Amino acid sequence: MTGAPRSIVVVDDDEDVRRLLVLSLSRVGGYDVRPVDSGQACLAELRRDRPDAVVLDVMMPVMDGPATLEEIRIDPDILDVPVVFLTAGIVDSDVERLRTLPVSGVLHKPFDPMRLPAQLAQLLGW
Amino acid sequence: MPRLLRRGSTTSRRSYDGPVVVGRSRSRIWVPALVVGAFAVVALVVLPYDSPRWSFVYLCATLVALVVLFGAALAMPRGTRVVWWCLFAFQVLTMASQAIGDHARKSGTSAFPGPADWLSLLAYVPVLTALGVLIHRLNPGRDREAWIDSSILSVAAASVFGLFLIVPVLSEPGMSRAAVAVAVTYPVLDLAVLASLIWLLVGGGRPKTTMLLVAVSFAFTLTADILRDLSLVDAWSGAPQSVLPALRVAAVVTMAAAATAPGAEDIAVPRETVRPHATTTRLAVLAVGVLAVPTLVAVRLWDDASKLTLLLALAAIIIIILAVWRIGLLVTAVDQQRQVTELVLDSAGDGIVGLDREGFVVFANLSARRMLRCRESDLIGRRFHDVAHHEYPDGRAFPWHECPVQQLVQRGGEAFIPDQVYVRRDGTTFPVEIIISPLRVDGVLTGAVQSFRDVSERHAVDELKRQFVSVVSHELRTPLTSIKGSLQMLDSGLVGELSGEQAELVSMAVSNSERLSQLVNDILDIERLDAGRLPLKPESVPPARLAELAVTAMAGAAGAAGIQLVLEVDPSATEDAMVFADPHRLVQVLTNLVGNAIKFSDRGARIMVRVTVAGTYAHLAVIDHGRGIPAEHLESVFDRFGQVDAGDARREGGTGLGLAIAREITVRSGGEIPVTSTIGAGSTFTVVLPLVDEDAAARITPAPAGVGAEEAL
Repeated sequence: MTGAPRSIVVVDDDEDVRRLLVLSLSRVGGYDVRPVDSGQACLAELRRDRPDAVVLDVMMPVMDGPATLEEIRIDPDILDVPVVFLTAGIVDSDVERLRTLPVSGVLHKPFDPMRLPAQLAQLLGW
Repeated sequence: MPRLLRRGSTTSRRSYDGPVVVGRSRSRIWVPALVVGAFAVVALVVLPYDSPRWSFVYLCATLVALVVLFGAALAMPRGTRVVWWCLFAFQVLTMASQAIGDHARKSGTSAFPGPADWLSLLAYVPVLTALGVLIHRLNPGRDREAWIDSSILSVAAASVFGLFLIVPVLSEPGMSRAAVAVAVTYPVLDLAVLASLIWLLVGGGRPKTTMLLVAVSFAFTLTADILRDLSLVDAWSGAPQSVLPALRVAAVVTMAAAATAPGAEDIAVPRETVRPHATTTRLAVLAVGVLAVPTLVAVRLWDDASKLTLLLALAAIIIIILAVWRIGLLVTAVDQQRQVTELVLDSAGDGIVGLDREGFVVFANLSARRMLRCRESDLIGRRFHDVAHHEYPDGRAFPWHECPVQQLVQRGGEAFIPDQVYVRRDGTTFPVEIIISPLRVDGVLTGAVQSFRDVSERHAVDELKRQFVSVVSHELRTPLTSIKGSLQMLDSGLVGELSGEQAELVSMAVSNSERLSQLVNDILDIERLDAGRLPLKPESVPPARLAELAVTAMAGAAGAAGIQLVLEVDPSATEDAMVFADPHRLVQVLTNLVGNAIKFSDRGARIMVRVTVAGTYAHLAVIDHGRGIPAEHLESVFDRFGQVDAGDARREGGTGLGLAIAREITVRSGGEIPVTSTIGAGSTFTVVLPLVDEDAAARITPAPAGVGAEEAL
């Protein structure tokens, strides 16, 4: 990695999980992490400043992960931003459905904050 | 989807193109038919025959009636068309033979039996065919009895009438035996047909008007044939012959009226309800038929018989009366038994359908009819698959030859078939589970019983459960994520070094949050295994690969516990020895076994994962040198929360569900997990899986129907 660290937008409605994601990805992974708390905020953040990747929670009120992804994929300015889902779901059919969407991968909660950055980098091919 | 069209009184009748316009309204068909009928009666009673003018009128009436009959037969629905075509053919042949006969008479070459008479005999082929169809259709499942009853009546009527009334009259000098035989045949056949029709009518044959008119038509034919026979005898030749054509016209006109009467298209459609009194009435009619012959024997004997012969004849009559009475009681008892059986079957909540070996319905209980919203007549005599089982759960057409029921019914198999869909008569569908059991009579396969249950409600409950699991999973995991993640970060020292006691406490919290999160996973896994909702995605995979993945996954844990984890692949486990299993789940099984071995091994010990192939099975053995399991606990280690000693769970950090899940997954993959153990020397858990043979792989692959149901959840 040269120059400025890669930037990642993390989206999760749970404040604690968000904080943990920031700690893990910035402290362990060394990324520039920008947390937001909803799908709408994510879209605004992406349009404001295009990041290198998005870590997107699936189950969120108002606008869930797949809905947010859909909005990202139809906006010409940000449609090619890599997205990784972060899900607490366990029902296989749900997870399978997530994998069929245009994302780089699916990560599961609970995650190990010490290993998360490496797992993310592997999914994104960094 | 091929909806079944029901031909009933509710379907509007097809109008047809032809010289005679028959409107859709029944009253408009009925009125002209009545007029023609009235004309026939007047012609019969009042009009003289021997005038060219009336011959012309007869000819016209015959032609009109034949055209009406032709048109009506043409417009009949498929189920009854054959009956009407047969009756039409009979009338045409009769009329043709009459015309030929007239011609022969005029040209003076009226030898008997002539061509006309043979043609007349031929006319009974279609009539008997029509009668056969009626008897078969109107007595579903009981047509053999119907044939016997009908034959008794026909034979009785024919022998009484033919042998005792006609033959003596005809048997006078000048008549050859052949001539007598042919002459007797027509009225006898007419009477036999008439008797069978009346018998069908009293047995609940409907529509009443139509059947009555057909019977009347045959009564006309019968009268005409008797008169014709009499005309052959010198003593009788004269007056009766002049009404003969009028009777023939009356017969064809009545037949045309029958074909256009309301409900004529339903003549061969069995009714839903078999009235109980019909049995009694039928028996009474049968008794008359059976008694007729001996009665006449007795009457004839009266003239010149000795008293002894007369007494014998009387005794015969009494015995027959008693026999018929006895049979009546028997039939009633059987009928009551049948009613009880039907009541029992009708009271069952499950749909119960009896099938013959070709899958045609011979019985359907009330629940089956209610669930399918069908009448009995919609099912009986039809292939059940075509009526209600012709769709896959995803709506695709489901051909009979792909239906699992087909093979089971034809081979006499027994099976439980879940995740099927039945189609109601109105086209809506509902999910069902089916149980097929073979039906054997004296060891010979005669069909199958198919019972089914509507599982819509259970599916709804399953869906609720699925949503519950999904929500609970989310709600449990979100806080766990924060707790476990925070502790792991603390433990890593990344956010500041911890003092000795602090580190110990955090480490304790980390391992317990680990355990909690494993417990949540295991409980959800068990719940889904129980609900059959943990789908396995089997593929062909070398067993050594599974072991390799498991060993890699557990290397870290083994290292941390100071244990040497070794993988040994026996040469017998070649690359082309494959097992058919879900690799993800099987690795879960193996890691679980390795995890257990680590828990119960001392620091510095060695754990081996050994892969061998023996016969048609692959063995993946996890061998430890721990303290071992007492023999009496070997089986219970697989029970839920069944650790060898209650303290283990706390001390070793297990959930008590891991082995239960491991065994469940292995069994569902077609394998098993035998255990051997020696106290103080260690334990060996072996995952035994069958090697792939291509056929077996094809069998295990879920059918499209099953997949559809899984996805529908």
